[in-house]
Amino acid sequence: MSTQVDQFKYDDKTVRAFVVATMVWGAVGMLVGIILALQLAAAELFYDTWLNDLPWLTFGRLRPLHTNAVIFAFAGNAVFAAVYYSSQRLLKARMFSDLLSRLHFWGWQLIIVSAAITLPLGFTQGKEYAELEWPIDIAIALVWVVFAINFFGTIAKRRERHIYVAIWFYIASVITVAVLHIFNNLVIPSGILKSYSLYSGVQDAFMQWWYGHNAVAFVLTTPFLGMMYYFLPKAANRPVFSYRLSILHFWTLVFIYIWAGPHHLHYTSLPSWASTLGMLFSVMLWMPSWGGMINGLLTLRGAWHKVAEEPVLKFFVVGVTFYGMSTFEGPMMSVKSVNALSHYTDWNIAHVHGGALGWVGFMTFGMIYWLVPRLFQAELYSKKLATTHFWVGTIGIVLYVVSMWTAGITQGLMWRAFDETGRLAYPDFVETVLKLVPMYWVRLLGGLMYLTGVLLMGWNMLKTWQRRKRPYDEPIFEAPALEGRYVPEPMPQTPLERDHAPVAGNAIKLQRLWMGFWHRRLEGLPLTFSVWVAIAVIVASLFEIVPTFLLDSNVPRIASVKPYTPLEVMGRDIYIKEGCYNCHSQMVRPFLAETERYGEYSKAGEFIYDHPFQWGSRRIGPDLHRVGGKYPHLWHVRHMENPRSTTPGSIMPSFPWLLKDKLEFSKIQGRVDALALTGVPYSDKAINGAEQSARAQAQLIAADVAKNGGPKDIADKDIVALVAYLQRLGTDIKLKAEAPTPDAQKAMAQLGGKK
Amino acid sequence: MRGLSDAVGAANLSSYAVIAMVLFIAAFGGIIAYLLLRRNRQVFDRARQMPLDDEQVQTPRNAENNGAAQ
Repeated sequence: MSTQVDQFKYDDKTVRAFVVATMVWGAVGMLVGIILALQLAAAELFYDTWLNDLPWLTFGRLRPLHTNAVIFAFAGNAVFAAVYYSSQRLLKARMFSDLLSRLHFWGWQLIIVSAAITLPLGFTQGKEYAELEWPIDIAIALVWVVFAINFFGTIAKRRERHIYVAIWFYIASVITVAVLHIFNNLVIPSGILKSYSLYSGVQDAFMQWWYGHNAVAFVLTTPFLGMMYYFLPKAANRPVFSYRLSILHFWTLVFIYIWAGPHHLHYTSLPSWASTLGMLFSVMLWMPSWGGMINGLLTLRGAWHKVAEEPVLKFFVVGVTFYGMSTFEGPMMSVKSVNALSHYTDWNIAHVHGGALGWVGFMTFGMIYWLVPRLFQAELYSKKLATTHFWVGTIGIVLYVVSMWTAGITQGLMWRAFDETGRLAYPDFVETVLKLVPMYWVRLLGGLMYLTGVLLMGWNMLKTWQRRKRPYDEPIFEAPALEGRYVPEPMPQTPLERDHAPVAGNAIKLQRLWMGFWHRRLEGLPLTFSVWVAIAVIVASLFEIVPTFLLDSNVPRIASVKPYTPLEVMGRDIYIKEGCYNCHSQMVRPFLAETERYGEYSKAGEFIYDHPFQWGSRRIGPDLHRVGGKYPHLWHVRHMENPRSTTPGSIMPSFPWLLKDKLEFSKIQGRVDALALTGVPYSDKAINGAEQSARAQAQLIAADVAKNGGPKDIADKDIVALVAYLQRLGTDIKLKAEAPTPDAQKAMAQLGGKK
Repeated sequence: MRGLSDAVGAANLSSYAVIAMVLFIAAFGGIIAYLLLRRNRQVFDRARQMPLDDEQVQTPRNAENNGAAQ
């Protein structure tokens, strides 16, 4: 029987574009990382010099740029390159639409550019890795839809019936990232680049870390596993070790990953059932992750001699090994008692960089070195240079990770150390920071080495590009034509059917089910498959998230906790704008070492008006939840102007512009109104007279500062709002709730209670 | 939101945790069973080859070849 044959070409132009973008943004993102590392190692270079007059250069504003650039620009473009290259070949079809491919590419780059402009200017939602403001979020959603249509469209017109496991990983990523992005970015806007999270406090924290953890899962893990399952067999020229293991790897990750988010919130005000659930699922993740690692490494069995000579395989082997290390370390750190030590320290930084530099980075580099000769249709300029990149990068990672482990454990132990008299051994927080500076230098060195490797790769790529074939060959492929109408694969006969056994139809159905034919059907039906993935992800999320939102007992209310005043709202916005949450937590954990250092531990009911929550994830500086009332107003003014004047040795940036920039009183009303829309119960006075109220409170604070010998002109400056906010932090529970009525007092007296 | 909270709080949904776990384990068991079935080995072996060949379709997706998938 003759079969009709289709002829088609693959679109490699888009893949080339994504590869170049990966390289460029990778170098930019890592360079920002180097600047941040230098700021921590050599703080004195940045303050008291002209550099200190540049607000956009401060740590709090650049750190979101670094994380967003390496996650969404570097890793994001790498994922798109992998998806566009491998999907076309696995599905034996050109991408669905060249126009959509172009829109996707340029749309994504435009988003990155807008991030690179807005983040250093201080436009941020104040939630880690979800900092971009709402107009950019909408653009991301639109570009993602373009990508999804292009991707699923390609699957729909594929010529290969079965969908290879790499594509499954891509499908899971496309669906889950969309869900995560939408739900974590629901905000009420107040102006074009300002908004407030719809959720507050505990719920916002839960939503954020459900997002944050799954961004790691579905941006930095599953698409890279897809990459591993395609490019590793390609480079080794061997099929994957076990396809069965890869299926198990896929489904267990999809089922389990989505639950693990709460491990970012151990010992916080999150209900402990959620925290325990997160821990259990995190520990469960270890096994499938290692299954995947073993599957990757064993693919190389019989080909290990190639690893010695082929830099591509070197990158893949070390990349997959780091996947194994990170997915062992992660579950370990999610165990509550380990987390009690590791949380808020540089151990977290070590962990994420092991994953990011080792797994994400090296898989990307391996892929690029494999792709570049094929995309440019020329031999790689220098294999030796690629091998040098590998060694420089590997040593860089080791220096980075080991120094941050040391720093993290050192600081964690210092925080909790007591002396023999039962007092904190290091009561001055700054002592525990200065101890880390030597480690920060080693980290800087490691980072520099890693970036050097990337620059070597850029040079190698450029030289290869110069040798490219002009014009590029566009080979034509052939495959049996696609039917106009989808014809499902017929059911095979079960033994009962074959033997014409005299049994009821149900028995045959049961046998069919047992034969596992359903899964093959599933693989052949991408739409159904995608729906099941979506269900797996959404159902798991609902079981975990809905109770926190709907069960009142999870967030006990505290009568004395009231909404922020309009001036404090403005101060909080400055706190968010300057990225204070990148170095300061607002969450005192219920440990003796913390209550001794900071005061009463934090309670869920204290955060119900925090849109967004600002609990933070790293303490480069001390916790601030109980800072309210701890120092005089003037102390804060001096401290913000130059932290060294109040805390010798501090590595915090100075914020002199806060004492000069005028507070935007005209914007206050709009902000309060937006917050009221999220459900904060503002009184009529605040709703109608936010600006007057703010001016009045500002006068009081400014007068106090002037009286004590401070600057006399701060009543209309940003600093006054920030001081108002800081002085309010954590003080509400110290107030007595409404005074008891006389009747109640009498009743108490009769019961013998105190007044 | 308030009324919804009250309704959900009063609904006493705690037994659903067990149902969720049973579903979860059943799904997991189903996947394991599917993976261990001998007859699927052939399919897996063909699927493994997919990345290695840019030119050859393993199982064409047209009506005539439906039978070939067996």
